[in-house]
Amino acid sequence: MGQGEEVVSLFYIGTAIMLFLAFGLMFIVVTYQRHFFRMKRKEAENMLRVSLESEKNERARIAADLHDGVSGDLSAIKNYLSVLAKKESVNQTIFDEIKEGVDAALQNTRAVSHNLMPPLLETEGLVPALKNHLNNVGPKAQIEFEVITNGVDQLPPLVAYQLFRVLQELTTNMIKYGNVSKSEINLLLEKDSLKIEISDNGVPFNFKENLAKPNASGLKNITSRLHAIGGTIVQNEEKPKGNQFTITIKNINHA
Amino acid sequence: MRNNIWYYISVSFVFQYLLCGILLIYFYYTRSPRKELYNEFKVIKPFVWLMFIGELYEVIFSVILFVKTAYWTTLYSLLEFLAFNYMFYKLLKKHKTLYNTFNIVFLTFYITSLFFWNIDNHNIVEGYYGAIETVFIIIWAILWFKDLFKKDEVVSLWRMPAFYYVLGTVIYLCGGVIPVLFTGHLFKATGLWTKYWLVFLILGTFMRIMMIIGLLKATVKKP
Repeated sequence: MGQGEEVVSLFYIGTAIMLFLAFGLMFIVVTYQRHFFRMKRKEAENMLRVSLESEKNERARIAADLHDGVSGDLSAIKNYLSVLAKKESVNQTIFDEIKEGVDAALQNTRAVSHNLMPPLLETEGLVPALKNHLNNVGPKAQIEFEVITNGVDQLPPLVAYQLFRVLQELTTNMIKYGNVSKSEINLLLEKDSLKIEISDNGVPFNFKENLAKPNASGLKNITSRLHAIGGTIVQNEEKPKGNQFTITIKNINHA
Repeated sequence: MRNNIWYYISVSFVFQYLLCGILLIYFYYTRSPRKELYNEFKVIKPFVWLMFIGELYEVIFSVILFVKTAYWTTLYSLLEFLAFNYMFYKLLKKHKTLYNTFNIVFLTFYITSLFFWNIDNHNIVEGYYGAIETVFIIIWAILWFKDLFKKDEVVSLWRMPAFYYVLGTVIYLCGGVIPVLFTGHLFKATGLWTKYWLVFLILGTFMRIMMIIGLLKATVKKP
């Protein structure tokens, strides 16, 4: 091999090696970054799941404390008042007022406790708890809520809890801002996939646009809860009046 | 040499580079920087001007007026190093000592080499400039990657303008270091160098395209 050919070979081999090293370095960086990204996302998902689970357990604990502790004490006070009221020397009017106050406190405590952790949700599942909640809030807000279920019996407890909270948030928004008079919630279970359609006749609002606002904690809560159970929420933007949302959860038994 | 097909291919690359230089200047001044990427927009400014003025000079003086390129290519090596060194220093926003050290080392070597420079050996000297520049830029690239993985926020590399700057620079210099070191030897051994210089020209095109993509990623259309 002449000297010229040797130099040319060295040139090509050297260039190829340097290019290989350079591309190799960039490839390693891109691959590592993707792996790193996946790990961070998994970590964030785990943290979200743990955080929501802790929140649920804490709510249950506080609800139980309120029910067993505060409610119990208020009931005891009510009983003492009943005993004292039977004594003739006591001012009946004042006692009646005190009893009314205690009754109100007892009712409020029970309401707070049920709101924190609806007992029906744990004992009978999503649909009865949802119907009970809407029967309570509907008349006060002058909204006619209708819940239609197709093949939805028992859902996994975590899914039922998160869906309850999501639907509670959506219906609360309807009451606060929606100017709604009628709303329908349609639950449909097909094979392993759950679909929930929520529609109302209120003021139209754009979910995506409002989600991007800094004070959208309620909407962000909705998306976080759905994300934790593998669900998505899509708004039907073609609806001319009111609002319609579809929540979809695939592989519901593995959520 | 000018009747050689490889010469005309090289000339076509000069016009290509001029087009890239014009595009860089055009995009730089007709688009607005993204707020969160203002630094990535700023750091490339010396490079943009170097590309524009450099390619304009090459087309006018080297291709049209046939002025000897030796003086220009030697000066260009210095300007290119200064532009890249500045770009990386401003991208990382730290390692001032390293930045100054690289400048001092390169300038010292550059000034010393000028005492031995002549029109016949300028390719060999420029090869050494290229080799030193490659080492320094690889150090900067590694520091940038290290910095990237320390950040809490994870952004896809393909969305970062800085990634394109680093990719273009690293591939251009690593792939080009052998051609620049071997040019003189290839000419002595084969009497031909423009054919082999094509590798360097292709890498130059790749680098310029990456810079344009990076600049586009860092900017938006002016309203």
